[in-house]
Amino acid sequence: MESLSLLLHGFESALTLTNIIYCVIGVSIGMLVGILPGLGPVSGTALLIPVTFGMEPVTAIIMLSGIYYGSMYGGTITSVLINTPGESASVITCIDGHQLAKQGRAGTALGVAAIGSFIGGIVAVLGLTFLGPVLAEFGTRFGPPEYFTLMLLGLLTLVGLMGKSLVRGLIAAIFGLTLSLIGMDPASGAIRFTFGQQELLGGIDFTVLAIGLFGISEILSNAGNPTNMEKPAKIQGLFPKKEEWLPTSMSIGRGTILGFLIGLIPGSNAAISSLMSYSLEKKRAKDPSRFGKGAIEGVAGPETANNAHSGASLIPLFTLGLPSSPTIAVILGAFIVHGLTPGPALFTSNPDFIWAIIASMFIGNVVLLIFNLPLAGVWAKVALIPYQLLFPILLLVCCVGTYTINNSLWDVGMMVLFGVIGYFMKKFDFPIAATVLTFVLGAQLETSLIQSLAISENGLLFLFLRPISGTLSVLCILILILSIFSALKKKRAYLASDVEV
Amino acid sequence: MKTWKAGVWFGLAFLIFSIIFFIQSLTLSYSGADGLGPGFFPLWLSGMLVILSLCYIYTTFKSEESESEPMPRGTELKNIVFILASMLIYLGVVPLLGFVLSSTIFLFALLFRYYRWHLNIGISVGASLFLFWIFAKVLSVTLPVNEFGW
Repeated sequence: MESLSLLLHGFESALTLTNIIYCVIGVSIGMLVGILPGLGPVSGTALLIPVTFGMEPVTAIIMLSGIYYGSMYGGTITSVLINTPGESASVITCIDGHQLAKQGRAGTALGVAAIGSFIGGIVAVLGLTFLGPVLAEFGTRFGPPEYFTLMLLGLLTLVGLMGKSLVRGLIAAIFGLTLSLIGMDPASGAIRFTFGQQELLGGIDFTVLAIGLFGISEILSNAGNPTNMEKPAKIQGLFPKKEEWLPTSMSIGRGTILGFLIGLIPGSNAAISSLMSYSLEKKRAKDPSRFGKGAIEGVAGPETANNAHSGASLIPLFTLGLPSSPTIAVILGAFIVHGLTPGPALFTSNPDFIWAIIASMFIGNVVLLIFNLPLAGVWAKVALIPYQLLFPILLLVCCVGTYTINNSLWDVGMMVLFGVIGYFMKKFDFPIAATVLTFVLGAQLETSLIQSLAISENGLLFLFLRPISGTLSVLCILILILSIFSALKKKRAYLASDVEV
Repeated sequence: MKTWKAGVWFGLAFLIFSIIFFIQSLTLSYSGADGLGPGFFPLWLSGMLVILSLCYIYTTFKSEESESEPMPRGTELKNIVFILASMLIYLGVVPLLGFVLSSTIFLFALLFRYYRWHLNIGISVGASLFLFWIFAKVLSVTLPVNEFGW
């Protein structure tokens, strides 16, 4: 019950006028980012970090996390109305969502998605409220070996189980790690891999890398394929038919649980949750043939799952300081910019901060519900902005955003370079998410490994001798064996690994 | 003549990158005050990357299946080169001309094929001024400006 009183206290600081305004701004940008092609949540949050420099840390993180969970709602609208997913977690919604729209039931699809998203999101935040402190308590017992193995587990889950090819996943991951080494080594002060460039002394800025690899590369990839705009379907009637209420709410329930659980796994992403929810719904259905022809459960389940996921995936960030996806990694970067270290200590050292953020997520989800139920039609109009008008302006915004981090044109040049690298990585199916995540975790991985080895008397074997790190190490090895085996057998189930959220 | 698959070239790029980093890591000290030094992690990482790049090049070289996505050609290549060139030129001129003027030219160039010139000028000038207003005035971040302050 202690959580409840802390949460109420959090509402006090979240309900100030400034914080409410920035929460609404955050979720609105999230909606935009979800709807607009070529701008995903990673670039969206990364671009706004410099803007938050002058803000209170609480306000800054409230806005940035608003972008993150808001984008999950926005992506649905374009999936349903024009059959173009705004972000990857809504890809699966296109199937039945757009069919419903063709039958004149776009309103129902959007209504159900909004209600499901709201329930999924709120349950995930409730999970954060009650599980967060417990996990943080558990996390205080973590030493360098535990952190090292946990990070390794997350990265192996990402490259080992979800990519198209293990080799490509590992290359992408190690590439990110190697890039993170550039600059001054925090432990020894040694200058590494700067090739005599002054600008590289401080390392590559994470935001530069993220905007380049995700934002610019996306715009370059779109350059070849002109986007055809479908005329959006009309929205009328937001609620399902009487006989659909029961199956819909069952789907929402299942989606919530599934998304929440998958969200807790480091390295998993929201698209996996929505994909798995879709196949679960299809399996549970009495008449699976309805799926693909406008089954309401095919919208309710996945849309709920991806929102439950995005909320749940903040739990490892808040309690252990570990990001499980690139967008969360950007938010982690914002924590650090504002002088906060996410991790188990945060709940005890900055409870006001943490609880205000959690409270703001309740508020944000309510705002999003309003945005998406009565105002869905307004947002749909945004999807009509022609892409050829949008992309030059997006490029310009990326340039400005990158420039403002350090007031340096060198950074903008680096961003363009990473844009080109990201473009080719997309072409050849290298998971960009793996590069970005390892880049963020690089320094921590190195320090925790060196520290573990320093206290160890028997080298790497030490990792197996402690109960928590031992279990995690065994899991790592299992995942590695499993993925090598499936690679050799060529039986890899293709799960999209390269998604932003 | 049998041409190399595009993936092989990309793998080669990774290989060169990792070899450069591997050689560089050898110059850093492998051990340090607490046991292991700044050279330890990079050496192992770049070493693994060398091996993985070789694996990738080998499998791509051997694979019979045609590339699912070939290298960009035709209009796609032209578009991409045009975007990249515009960005690089933009980077070059922005310290001289300032944000508003260079952004206007940048947008005008990229919108040239889609809109008639008078509409285009309107959009480019309007969007540049709007972005300048938002970033420099409302959010008060520093932008590269010319000697007149815009």
